Amino acid sequence: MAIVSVKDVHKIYPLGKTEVLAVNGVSFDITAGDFISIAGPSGSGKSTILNMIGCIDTPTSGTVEIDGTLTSGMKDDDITRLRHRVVGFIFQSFNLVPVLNVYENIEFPMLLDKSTRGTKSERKEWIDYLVGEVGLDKWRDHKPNELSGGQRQRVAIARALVTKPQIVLADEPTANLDSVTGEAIIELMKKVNQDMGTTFIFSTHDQTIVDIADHVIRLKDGLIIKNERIG
Amino acid sequence: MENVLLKIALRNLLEHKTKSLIIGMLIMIGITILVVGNSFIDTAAKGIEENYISNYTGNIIVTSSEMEVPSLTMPMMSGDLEAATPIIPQYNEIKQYIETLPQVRNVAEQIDGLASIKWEEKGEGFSILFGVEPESYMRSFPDGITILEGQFLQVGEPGIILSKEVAQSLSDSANEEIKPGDKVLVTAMNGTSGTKIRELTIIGIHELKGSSPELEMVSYVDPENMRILNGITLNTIDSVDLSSDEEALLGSVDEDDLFGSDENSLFSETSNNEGEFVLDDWDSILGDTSIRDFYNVTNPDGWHFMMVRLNNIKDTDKTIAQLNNYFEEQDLEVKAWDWIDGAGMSAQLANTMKIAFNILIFIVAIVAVIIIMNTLVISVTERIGEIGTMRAIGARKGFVRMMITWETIIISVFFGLLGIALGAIIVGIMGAIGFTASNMFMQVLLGGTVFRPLLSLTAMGSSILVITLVGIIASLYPVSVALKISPVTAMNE
Ligand SMILES: Nc1ncnc2c1ncn2[C@@H]1O[C@H](COP(=O)(O)OP(=O)(O)O)[C@@H](O)[C@H]1O
Ligand SMILES: [Mg+2]
Repeated sequence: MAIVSVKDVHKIYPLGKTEVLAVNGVSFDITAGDFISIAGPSGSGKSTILNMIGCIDTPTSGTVEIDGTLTSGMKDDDITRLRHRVVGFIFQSFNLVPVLNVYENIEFPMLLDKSTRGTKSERKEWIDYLVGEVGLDKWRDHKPNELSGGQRQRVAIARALVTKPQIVLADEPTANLDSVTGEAIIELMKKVNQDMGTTFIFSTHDQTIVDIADHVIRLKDGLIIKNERIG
Repeated sequence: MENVLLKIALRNLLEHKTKSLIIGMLIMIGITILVVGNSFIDTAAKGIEENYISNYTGNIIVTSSEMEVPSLTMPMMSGDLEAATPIIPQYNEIKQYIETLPQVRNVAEQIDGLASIKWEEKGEGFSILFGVEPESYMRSFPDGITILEGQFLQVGEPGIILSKEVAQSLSDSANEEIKPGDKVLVTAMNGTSGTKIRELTIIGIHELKGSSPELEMVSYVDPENMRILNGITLNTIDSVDLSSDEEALLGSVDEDDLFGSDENSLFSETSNNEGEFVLDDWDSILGDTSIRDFYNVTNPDGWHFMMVRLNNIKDTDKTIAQLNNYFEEQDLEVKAWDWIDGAGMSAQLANTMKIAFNILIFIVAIVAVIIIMNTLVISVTERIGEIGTMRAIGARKGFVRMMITWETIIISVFFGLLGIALGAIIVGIMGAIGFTASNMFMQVLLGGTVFRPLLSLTAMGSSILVITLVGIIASLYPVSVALKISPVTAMNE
């Protein structure tokens, strides 16, 4: 079953008097539980596509369906709720809230909606488990600026998972990390994917990372040049 | 959710200590000024109010509706200089009606005038005159007048009570002390009723409480003589219907014949060889005085002002409205005014100070709004990525709005309370020490010689209101900037 369905999507950015064709008509489906890599050189449209799947950007034409919901024409609060319920984000620059510690950063998305808030002890139990999963038990009271890049990205992974979303989007999650740390992060994502069945969609231009994926969508100049699902 | 909002807001404020401290100090100083200033003004206004209301204006002043300004101390302000000060029509009915109102304590009445005062050939001065009925006046304003020499006006007896300052200026120009029992020539200064002169015996010398430059000039005169000085008579030349006998007796008399400047004039220079006017000569000059007597019968109900004292100051506005309604219903050309309208310059000066202070506060508030707003906008733009991230991972617009608002609320409440506390301490210290008014201007302004400001609840209340408004207004624009941040910005960090 397709958790994400992209149909004939174009994205045009105005650039001064001209226009940039960031995405030039792409269609693909993503199966729930897959570990998907969107690969391609810089400027090929990876981020643009991830943003549209993540409902933080809209296509100029074409449609994006997430979990059976058509994302175009929704009110801001509704699309935010959809995002909160279905999607988790991992960012290239980690994007943690600087004034919150590790535990609080992971807890943050849970507090944003009644449906995920639960009781304090319910939250604690789940967050403690996630903190253990990403290997940060000793760091739970530290602020982001006291952590290394790899540690920060682990916090971000836990934060992305805390609301138990069906999809986690990661835009070049290893770009700001050294290759060893980067590989460890991808391994962690893969482990969660296998343990929890969460669909992961990550973009990268690093071939060694691409190899771990079981579905690779390769882009060039806003077009799909390869769409291959292994297994 | 409130917890995490509060936590983030508070930590952001602590994270940017200098910025928070600058805004906080600004708020604190503003609030301190507000509390101290308002307490000062409220105490002064209350002092002035109590002085004026209980010593000579009452809570409400009633006049003829022709009166333009019901000024008790500036009779020339009351209307056109060329026109006589209008009297209250149907005085008795109106007084009776007012006295039946349950909220009314007393009603007193007054005739106003300005006069030059001459003490034989020795000295000259000037005075504001209040013509009052001793009984009702003393009942309404028992504490206002302090008799320094002699006594106050007695019912039915003619005479004048000089103010200490008027007596002093007469004594000074005469080089001799004026005393009760001495006689003075009082010449009314008004443009219409012809020049009226009365010789009056000084009954006493007084001092008015809550002195001000105007009040120091006030002398009291019995009402009968005040009416003569003001030309408040029952029969006026152009309005009286005379019987045919009276017509025959009077012939065709008009004002010029009586007071004109021709040879027969009462006041022509030629009437006295030495250029000196002797009262005893009047009868002999005029011979038959019947015409003059007819026009000089004073109107016993002729009053310029009615001063109404209420049991409770809070009823003032309500009673003014009630009275004016009644006057309109009854088709009476009468108007009820707030005491402040008749209190003269000093009381109004205090009012003006209050307005000026409020304008100052308004300006300070605007400056505060601009500074706070600017700082908040900067802190929002510094956190575009952070706010975008929050939006991306599921924070709705309402969350962002509350997050920015909480920052303003925390800083306003914390430093606002500090400001109120500081203000209260300053007012408390000043109240304990007392504040001596060094000159008359300050005395008038502060409503007494030693001023002890009291912390006013309204001052604290209005301070809280101002700070709330400042906080809300200052965060409107930064919030709107924050709400425009798209979740996609999270990607570009
Ligand atoms: N906000 C934008 N405004 C204008 N052009 C943009 C914007 N975002 C991306 N682009 C352009 O769209 C193209 C695709 O960008 P992007 O999706 O970020 O590629 P990638 O993530 O693969 O590097 C690039 O040419 C980029 O310059
Ligand atoms: Mg990119």
